[in-house]
Amino acid sequence: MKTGLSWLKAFSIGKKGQIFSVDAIAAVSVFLFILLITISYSTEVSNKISEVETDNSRYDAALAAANSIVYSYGEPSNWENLQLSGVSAIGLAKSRNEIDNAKLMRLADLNAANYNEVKEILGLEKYGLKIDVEELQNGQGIAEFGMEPETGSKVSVVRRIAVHENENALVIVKVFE
Amino acid sequence: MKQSGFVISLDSLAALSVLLTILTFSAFYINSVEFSARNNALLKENTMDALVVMEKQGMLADAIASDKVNDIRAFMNQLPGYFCIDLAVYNENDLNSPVLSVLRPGCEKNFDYSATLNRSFVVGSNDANFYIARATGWFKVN
Repeated sequence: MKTGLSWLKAFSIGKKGQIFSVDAIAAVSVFLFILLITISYSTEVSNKISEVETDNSRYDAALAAANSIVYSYGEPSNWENLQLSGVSAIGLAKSRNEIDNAKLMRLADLNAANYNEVKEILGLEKYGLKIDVEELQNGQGIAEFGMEPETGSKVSVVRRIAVHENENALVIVKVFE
Repeated sequence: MKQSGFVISLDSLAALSVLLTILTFSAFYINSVEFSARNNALLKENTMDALVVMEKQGMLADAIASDKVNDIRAFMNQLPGYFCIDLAVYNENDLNSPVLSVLRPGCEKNFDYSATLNRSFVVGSNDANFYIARATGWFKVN
């Protein structure tokens, strides 16, 4: 009968281990390769999802701002005659899809000194904003607000059709980062 | 060395192949996903915009009265290039046969998704007739 020590000695010297070093090295290499690919891929997917979410948020903000401009009167509805501090919502409509010229001109006048306040009221404080209202027939500008996005910046553009002074008009809302 | 160990490099390579295949398919799927919900929202808004403007500008009533669609077609031609629209106007008593129908010139009905919206309007003042304008809008496929 073998003692515990002699059994261990016989086993360790007489037989090979169950993990061969070449196989182990190959397997570890493959495992590391898989791990690397998985980490790289998951990072890329995560970045893509993040980018899409950012893009969606910006687009939703642009759509909401365009709706507010084309559909709503603003709050209060005579906001064009008031100080901006008392205005909770900005809208250019005098009826659905019909732009009130007085409100449009007031918005254009606010451009120089109240750009940030108007953005905030429209829910676009973290974005840049450009609003163009132009004639649908020939693209001639009627009024504008805000600043053009810089080249290369990410921009969401929403175009809406409306009536201004009995002429068809195109409202272009550009929201950018 | 008559027997192999539990970690077999051939198995690992097979597993790697499976993983790469899965990653390739999932990458293809993720890249091909289109975020159509937001486009669909804009499509509905643009279609309703066009209907409302045609109604407010009297184009629909004029077309019924004169039986001519020139103004509507001209308006459609001014719309943003990415947007296609097909308009049909029905008398309230017959919603199967349109009294007039206009498709934006240059557009084909080869869309995967469209938005169809209705808007009613009245023609005439004393002997008023009700009509329903049904517009189908879609984004132009290049």
